[in-house]
Amino acid sequence: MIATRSSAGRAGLLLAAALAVPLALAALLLPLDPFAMDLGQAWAGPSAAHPLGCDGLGRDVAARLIAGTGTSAAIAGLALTLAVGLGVASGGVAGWIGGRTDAVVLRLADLLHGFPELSLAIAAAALLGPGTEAMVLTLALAAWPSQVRWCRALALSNRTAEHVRASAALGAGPLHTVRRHLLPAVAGPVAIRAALSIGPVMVAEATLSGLGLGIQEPAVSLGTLIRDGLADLRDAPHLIAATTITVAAVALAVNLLAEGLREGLDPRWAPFRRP
Amino acid sequence: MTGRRLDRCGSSRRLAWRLARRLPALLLLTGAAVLVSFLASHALPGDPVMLMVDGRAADPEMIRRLREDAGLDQPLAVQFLSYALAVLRGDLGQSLRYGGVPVTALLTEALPVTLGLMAGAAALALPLGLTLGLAAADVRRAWPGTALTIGSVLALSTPPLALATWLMLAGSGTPPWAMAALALPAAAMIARLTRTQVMEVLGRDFIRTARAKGLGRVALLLRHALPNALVPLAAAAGSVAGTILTATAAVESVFALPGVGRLTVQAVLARDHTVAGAAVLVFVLMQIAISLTAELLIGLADPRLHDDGLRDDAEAP
Repeated sequence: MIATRSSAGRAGLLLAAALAVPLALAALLLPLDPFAMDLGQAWAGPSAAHPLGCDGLGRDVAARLIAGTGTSAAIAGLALTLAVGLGVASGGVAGWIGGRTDAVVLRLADLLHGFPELSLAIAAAALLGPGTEAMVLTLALAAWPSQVRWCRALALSNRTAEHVRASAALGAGPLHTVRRHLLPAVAGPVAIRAALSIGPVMVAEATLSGLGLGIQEPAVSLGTLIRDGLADLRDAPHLIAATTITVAAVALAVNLLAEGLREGLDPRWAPFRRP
Repeated sequence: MTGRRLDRCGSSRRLAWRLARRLPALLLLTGAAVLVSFLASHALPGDPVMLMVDGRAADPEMIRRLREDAGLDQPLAVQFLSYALAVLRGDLGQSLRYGGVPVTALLTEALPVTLGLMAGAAALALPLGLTLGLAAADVRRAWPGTALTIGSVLALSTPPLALATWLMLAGSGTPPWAMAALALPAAAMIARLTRTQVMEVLGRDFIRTARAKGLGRVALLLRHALPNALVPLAAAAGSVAGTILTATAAVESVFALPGVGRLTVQAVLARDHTVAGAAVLVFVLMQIAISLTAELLIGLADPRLHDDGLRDDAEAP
């Protein structure tokens, strides 16, 4: 497997397994509902029935963490799919065609890059109302500029590559050249870049939703769980401890796996790779 | 002596020119930020006047008059024009939550807190990040690089809210701990960037020449490798600044510091749209300010700026 070629990738796999196995066991053995309330168990500490304890409404923290991780991963995936799709389309076209199109797309990416995530989140929350749509839009817009620059650079360097010029010289149309020669050459680096973005996007979601600017109750995400934990900081510090440690561990596993993927696939890392 | 002075003069002019070239793009960005901040504060599903009367049974005539006073009966384009003109005059409107308090007053009260926090964090993060990055660029031993990779991935995987909470619980709720919470991820980013760039510079020919001259390792790193490695870092300053600004809101919220980040978050939650809209603009301006400052400081260290001067000195009989 590619990820096991580097120590970062191996560490990421180990950490992911260390997180997934107990959580999967808990989900299988104790069919827990992230929304079921039991006020008698409010702020209960860890027990056999509730391995990570309960929150202020007596909801199982472990179940909420599983559900929240799922939501956050789905949101990060959706936002990145949007950003990468738009990035490949606009950046690829800009780099391939060049000229004025290129200048306009680059200027647009620079402009958007000038907005910090926080500004985008505030604007999206004000315009769409705080919630899932605003969050996905914010994260996609924040991730788009770097994807555009990356795809543009790839398209630009491939446009003048010998096999591409040979294809054109043999009489292939531009569509054929793009499909047969550009897209396969670009797919790998784009995938690596997207994988490296998953962790930061999940951290951004946790931060913005944690501040109340993103996902809203009753939906659960890693961010809303941090928000709940902060609200109950005095009554039940084990809540914020369990939540923040899980969030950091999930992001760490994702980041390490992506790093492993990069080191395993990127030819520039080849000299550093162990035999 | 004359050559030196000429060199200083030429390099500062070149630096000013370099910054001035970015001006059109920055003006465009500011304009876009004003537009977005207008949209965020005006083109809303909710009605600010209804928020002002706060659900109390107000008579329709009064609501109509309030609307007229606020210019809400005008077309959006007209509203935007008057908003942009007001922003140019330094008027960002009035807070909807704190009835009648100018947004600029709220911001001038909150800005020093945020700037102090960020200055403290920068004072911690810059030396820490540069030192760690340089130490980890040592190719003779593998462990500093590995340690830095692990540490920085760890620091960047921890959401700022979580890091701030840990530091507050482990340490105390005092401002130095808030600065540390902000500085750690920043130092991690700076260290990673520095390491990559320094490693690349160390592979170039002039480094081999300097080493062949018998230059010591520390002098080589500080005099030759670091200034050249810093140049590409200026381009990254903007995205580092963006991450730090978002983290500032998190740190201020956890440590209950009355800064711009906390003010903004509370404004969004309380639907204080004028403050939230103004904050969109303020954060863009702060990011511009941070990246320009970084560019200026790094520009001063850029060896290419002083290139001609050195050649003058060398050619002088």
